Amino acid sequence: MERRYFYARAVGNPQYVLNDIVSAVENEELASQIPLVKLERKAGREFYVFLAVDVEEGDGIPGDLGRILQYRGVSFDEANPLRPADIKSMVQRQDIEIHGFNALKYRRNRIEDPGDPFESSDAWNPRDALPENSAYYDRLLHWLSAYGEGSWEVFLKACQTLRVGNTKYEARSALRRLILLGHIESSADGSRWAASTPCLVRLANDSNYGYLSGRRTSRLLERIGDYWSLQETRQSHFSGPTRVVLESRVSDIPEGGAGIGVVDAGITSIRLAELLPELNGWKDSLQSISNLDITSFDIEKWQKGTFQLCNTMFNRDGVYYGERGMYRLKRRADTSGRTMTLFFDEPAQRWLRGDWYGLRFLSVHHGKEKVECVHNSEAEELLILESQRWPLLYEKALTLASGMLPGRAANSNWLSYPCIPLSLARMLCEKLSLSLSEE
Amino acid sequence: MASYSEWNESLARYFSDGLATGEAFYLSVNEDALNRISRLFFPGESMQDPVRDFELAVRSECVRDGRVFLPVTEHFSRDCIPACIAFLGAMVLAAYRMSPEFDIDERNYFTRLREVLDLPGGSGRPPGLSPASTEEPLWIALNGWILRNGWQPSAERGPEGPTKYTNLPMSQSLLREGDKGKLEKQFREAENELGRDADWERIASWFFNRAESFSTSHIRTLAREASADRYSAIVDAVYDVYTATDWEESPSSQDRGVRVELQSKRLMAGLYREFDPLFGTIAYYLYPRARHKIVQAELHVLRDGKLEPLRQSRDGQFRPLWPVSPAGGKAYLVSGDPLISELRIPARDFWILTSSREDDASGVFASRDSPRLGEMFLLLCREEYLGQLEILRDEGLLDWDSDPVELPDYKGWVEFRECQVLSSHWDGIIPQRPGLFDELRPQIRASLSFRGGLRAKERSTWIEGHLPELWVSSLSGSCQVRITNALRLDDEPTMEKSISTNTSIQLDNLAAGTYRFEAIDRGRTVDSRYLSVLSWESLEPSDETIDIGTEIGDHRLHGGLIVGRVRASDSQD
Repeated sequence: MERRYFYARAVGNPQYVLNDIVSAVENEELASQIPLVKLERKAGREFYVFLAVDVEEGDGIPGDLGRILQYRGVSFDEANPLRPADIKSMVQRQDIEIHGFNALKYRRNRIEDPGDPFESSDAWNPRDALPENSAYYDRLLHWLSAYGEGSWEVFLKACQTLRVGNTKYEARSALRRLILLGHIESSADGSRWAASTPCLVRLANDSNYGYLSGRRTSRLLERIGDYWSLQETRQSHFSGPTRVVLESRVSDIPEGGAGIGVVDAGITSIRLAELLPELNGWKDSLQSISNLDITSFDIEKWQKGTFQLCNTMFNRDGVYYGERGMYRLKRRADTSGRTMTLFFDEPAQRWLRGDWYGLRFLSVHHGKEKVECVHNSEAEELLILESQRWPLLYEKALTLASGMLPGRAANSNWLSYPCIPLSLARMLCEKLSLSLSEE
Repeated sequence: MASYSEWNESLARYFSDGLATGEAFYLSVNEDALNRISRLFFPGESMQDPVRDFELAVRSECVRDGRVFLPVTEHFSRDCIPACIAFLGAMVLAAYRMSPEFDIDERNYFTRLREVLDLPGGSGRPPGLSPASTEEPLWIALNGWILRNGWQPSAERGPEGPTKYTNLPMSQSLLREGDKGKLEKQFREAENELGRDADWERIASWFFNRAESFSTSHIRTLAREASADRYSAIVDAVYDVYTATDWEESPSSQDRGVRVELQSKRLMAGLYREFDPLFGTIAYYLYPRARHKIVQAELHVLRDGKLEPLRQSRDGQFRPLWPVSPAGGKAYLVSGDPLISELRIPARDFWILTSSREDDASGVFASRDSPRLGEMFLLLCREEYLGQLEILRDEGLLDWDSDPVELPDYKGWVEFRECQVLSSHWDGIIPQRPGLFDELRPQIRASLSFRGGLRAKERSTWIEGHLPELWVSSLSGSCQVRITNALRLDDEPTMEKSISTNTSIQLDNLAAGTYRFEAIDRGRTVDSRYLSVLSWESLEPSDETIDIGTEIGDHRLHGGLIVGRVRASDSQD
């Protein structure tokens, strides 16, 4: 059996002719013998129609189809069927439209580019002000806790499904917030996430009390609620999952959490602050990219709060020439629009990868801008300029102090972190080489 | 002699060992399996004839005075294994022994069952197994246990008529006793075409494209009526025969027990594709294929004089190893299991790679099961295949997105992305590249798939209120879709309707539970899938040990918890 094409010159509207042929084939129940029809498209009123049939030598168009179509004004030449290759000499390939019988429709299913995993800025989003956001985040946390771990793409889909964020940028914000609260961790290359061990983190300004961090579901909260009262506090601007505080003093909780699987983590914020390296040490821990061929990228430099085209960065004889700072690179050959943000450490001749705010902090630190922060002893809060937000790990030492994401201060350019004792603020500022103002 | 309960537990463990969640469970009891089980689970016992030992154990428990006494469905072992598995295994053994020339003769089946249970000769159901549905609660108990463990049941009723209930054991025995010898003969005859090292996909396409010329009616029917959900299991069974084929047909090695042991000497590998977004590069890694019931120990692969561990990921698959050429044709020594001596990547001019069905947005493509009908795949091939692929596209059989992409790091190889098979009309096309042509040609007429929604950790499970769409891909234009409660077969279907292909059904209204979805074409089930729905209230936090954390000096931060000094062995991950 071989494929042959019977062809005809047809006149009229190509779509109407195609519809006629399709309905005739289906009415005659010949769809299992006629694989497809090819139609010359972009033609004038006169055009070619090709009817494919898998035939034995000498066979014609099956059944009465040829006669029926003749009545409808399409007369196929049954005596001289064509081989598939013959059609190419009659019609340009790009001018052919194919209609397959009993065929599947081709559906493009392009995989969305997940973007640079480190580009997790937390820009203000009007959606954040919606009270229902808290419930969406709680559901997301419950789902992440049950799922355990997964790829960044799985996280993005969950954010979209549970209405936490529609875009990858919004999902990255959510990822960053959940990391700050200790609910999840991200792998070093940003490609995977994992929900963290459920634990009770003590408040930095009153270690008698603590809040839940890490994996949690309604079932777990129910079990904990059987033993202790729980108090829920919504995040500022509903920008993350609800904080769940145990109303009992932590010392009243028996060791092992009475078998409910929640670990007493201690005052994580202070312990973390003690363990964190100084700024240069942190910089040395970042992933360094060697042999970066910058000629294949369009380059922008972070200046005055925005990325601006940079034509002064070049490489000669293996040495990079350009200013120290944060850069955004876009591969010219890449049509996906993906960019990556790197910090160019000029004296050490290295390109560093890390969280977006961390790289910006390095840029601010090495620039002329004064880095400011203020501690209010009475309110036990630390104020940081949003434009000078700290590297993720250092900011996490602040958010774990209370289990709350930063709120906006009266002056909305400032972020406010609650439950920060002066000693913690001093320790972190010293590590980041910042001068701390005290109120 | 092992007791009934020992055989019961061993069967359960053997057939579920290494089975990833979501995979189909087959209770394919036959002589090879019983021999193997005796070696694995009763090594110290002097079991001369494991098949006879198994039959005696079942008879002692379930047959008295010429009558069958069924195990009680509510009885379970300490590990919650239902007590009926060994009896059902005996029913499957009878199906295995049916003559392959009489495909669906009920008397043929019960004659064999009477032999297995040593019941007096006669035709039809033996005493204790009447009326016809008497033993079905045992199958339902087995299916319940399978579903509770996260696997997919495969035992199913036949159409209304004499085989409605006998189809349950027959559905578990894909190949029959006489089939194997005939298949082996075919493999020997095709040695020049297939060689001795063909991989799963090659054998799959070879089998389905030639099954109509086989002499046994059962094999012809098996291939002709293969439904999408049984496709992999059929190929597994055929591939097992291929790997155990005695190529020399020497009289000394006619003992199948010996050859079954030999069959697993080799672990096959495919490719795992990784895209580095930072540098825009594509790399292909060696990807060992995990086939359950093979690996019994921790394995190491020898590469350049160094042993590298074979690690398994959460879904039961091996992790990719190191970059390789897609041309393949290499073998590496394996240590750690006496049954496996080498890891081999076959020589190939093309590869069909699919994304993970559990994480289809990740963009990672690898050698996995053949793509289902309607499923996108990535085709990696040598440039010489371009002409063949263009013909297939011109004839409306296949399509892909954009132009083929050349790979600078793999000279002479190109990628065709977002490929999809579109039609079943392949008969009239004369293949230029028969290997590629055969593997792309669809063997299944319809397939069901779930897209979107919010998945739970367990495979084939979604969260209530966020269920997927059910997509039907059928080469018949339309088909019937039926949704039933998986554990209450006689309940009215939750939904039954005819839908045309390329369309979907939104499933938002299903309550928590487990459902069976069937695509029915001209009265025959052409695909079936199970889907479980979990309520939000039933979610439990994952208890897996997760190795993602942030290193800070010699400490590690896990969310809100700081863990003490990191040991050297921990940091290797």
